[in-house]
Amino acid sequence: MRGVWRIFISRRFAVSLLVLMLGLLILAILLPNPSILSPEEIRTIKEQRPYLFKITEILGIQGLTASPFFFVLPFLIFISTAICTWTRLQSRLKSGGAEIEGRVFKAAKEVTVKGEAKIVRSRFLKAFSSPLWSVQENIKEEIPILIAHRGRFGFWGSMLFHLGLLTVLLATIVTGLTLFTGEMLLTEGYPIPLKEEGFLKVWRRPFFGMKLPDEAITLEEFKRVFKDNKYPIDYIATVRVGEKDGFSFLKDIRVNDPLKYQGLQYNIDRYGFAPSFVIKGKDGKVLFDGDINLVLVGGQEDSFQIPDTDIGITVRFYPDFVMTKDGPRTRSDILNNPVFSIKVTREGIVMKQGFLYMGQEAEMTDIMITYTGIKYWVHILVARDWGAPVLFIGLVFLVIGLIARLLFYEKGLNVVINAEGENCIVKVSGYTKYFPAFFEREIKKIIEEVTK
Amino acid sequence: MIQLEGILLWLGVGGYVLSILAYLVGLIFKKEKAAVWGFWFISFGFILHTVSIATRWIVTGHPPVIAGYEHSLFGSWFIILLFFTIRIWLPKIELFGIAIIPFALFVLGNGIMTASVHEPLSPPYQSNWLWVHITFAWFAYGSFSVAAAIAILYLLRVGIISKFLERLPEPEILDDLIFRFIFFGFISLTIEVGAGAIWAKGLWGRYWGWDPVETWSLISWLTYGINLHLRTTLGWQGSKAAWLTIISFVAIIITFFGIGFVVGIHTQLL
Repeated sequence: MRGVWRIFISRRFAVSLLVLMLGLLILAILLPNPSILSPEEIRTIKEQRPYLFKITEILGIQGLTASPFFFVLPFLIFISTAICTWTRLQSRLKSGGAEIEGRVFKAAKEVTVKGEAKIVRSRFLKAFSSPLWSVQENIKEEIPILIAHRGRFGFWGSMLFHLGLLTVLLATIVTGLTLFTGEMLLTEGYPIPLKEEGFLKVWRRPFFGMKLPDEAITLEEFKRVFKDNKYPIDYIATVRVGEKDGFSFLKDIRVNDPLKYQGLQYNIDRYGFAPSFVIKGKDGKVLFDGDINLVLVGGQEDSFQIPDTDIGITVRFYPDFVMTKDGPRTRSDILNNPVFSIKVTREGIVMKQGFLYMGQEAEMTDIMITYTGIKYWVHILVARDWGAPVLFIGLVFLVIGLIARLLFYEKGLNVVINAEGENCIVKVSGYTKYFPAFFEREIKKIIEEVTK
Repeated sequence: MIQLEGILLWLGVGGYVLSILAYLVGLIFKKEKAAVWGFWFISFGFILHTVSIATRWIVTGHPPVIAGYEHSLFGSWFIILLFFTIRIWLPKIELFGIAIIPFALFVLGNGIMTASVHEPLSPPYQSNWLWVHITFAWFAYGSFSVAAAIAILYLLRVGIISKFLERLPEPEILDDLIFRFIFFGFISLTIEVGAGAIWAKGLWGRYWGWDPVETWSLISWLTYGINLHLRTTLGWQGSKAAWLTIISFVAIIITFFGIGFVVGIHTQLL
């Protein structure tokens, strides 16, 4: 048991854990990351380099961060940090701050100063007049000894930094246990339940489960604001939470201003177009009447199958249509001249293709397509994370602790003033926790000031 | 206005290049005056660089923090700013320019050739946390760049060409300076990562997503955290610590220049 304790209080062990974590992260980040690869690229790796794919599954960033090992490693860092911090705190409290822990750098200088000991003493006291220095005076056999210290907060800065580190590690555990993430797709005018059945996908569920709101959400309107008719500067999704006739409220969700409801956060993440079509068969029977969410090519393209038929339709939307010598293009994302390119397929074979303007009805093989309007869809990220506030507290501790450590590190000076006739022999010796070369300069500067 | 920005920037670059030449003359021919000229050229370049940034700021209505060109413009400015701050500790540091200015020009050169589009801030960037995130990112990257530059000087100073570099401060001072910049850079990096996490929470509902930029930021943080740990608790200093500083800087190079390769994932926002 003592051996284990000794390992955990060892600084080398703490550094080794950090190096191990660093090494694993570097390895993981160098492996292919499925979250930024297209399905095609993932398939290619799977087929052409099955070993790499296997390694990626285990040691890639997604595999690694989800593995139990990645929970054990921060846990060991947590234990090591906690034990180191505790033992340092104990020895500090025992010594009452009289001893400087760990390694210190020492420096000494002896000079002859003209003048009486009393005057030399007062000059040194002036050099230590900054409130950061705390000065004590001892007189031994009529020889004045000035003892100056600074950096009382340095140790506590280090403590706060380590407390911050522990809090951040604790936050990751809280997040691991309480995180809920999922995604929803809202099309203008359609209420979607906030319960799990309304989600496109739920990525993470909290360890202890959670209750989702028993209400519906409806995208009432989606607006885009452009500057100079070119650059998007605002996206506003007006949503209604609750039933239109019962209790409900409206909220404008913006990119940096999400909806927060019953502990959950709803952020808009992407948007796209959802054209409304009416498709009739040769006999005039309505085969389809509704909106199609275009989710490909930045929300401007998609394919779908007409229900109960073998007819497939590929739609490409041009919000600001223009025909160039290289083919159809859109000048901008603004709905200046909305036009669809429609491709009708039967069993995968292209039967007919053409363009469709707003309100236009077109006969395409044996169907009639009418483009009746355009709506928007928005993709919503839903999340709940109780670890976030803990993390932010930890970050504040980390930053304050580091600043205190850098600004108020420990250093001290002993000045022994020995009168010899009309002169004084002054011995200046001291220690510093950091920056020994600058400390020597500081001693030199103090002596220069005193001997001036 | 846009043309003025370009003219000012290129004149500023001219000032930086001239400063390197002047420093080289000062170093090789031991001409004190050339080093002084070098410092004035940097100051001249820095003033024009600053006015160029201000001009762009006025035109776009926001600080230059979007895309490669603006990152390089602002980032190199921070590195030069840190060069001037060294003067707080060491008034006669003119020769440091010979190591630091090439770093700044390298960062500037990386972006100056890319498209310089004057765009307003897109919605995801309209967050106060962006300013905290970017400002401290540049303080961090600038500090680590300066630390790496001084580490190179340190190794040269104690190595085979030490005779040429006698006019530089003693190696012990350089070692302390490296430590100071790493410490300051680490504080800035902590604030940068923290502000990024808060911004991400507002944008996506989660503070961490293990995307490549986030992961590299954490790798940089751990790298410099280990660096500090080795210096403060295990007593690393001198050449060993200087080499470690240079190796650690690789993480920053990848985090900054790597953004270009993974831009789609960290900034995939509407």
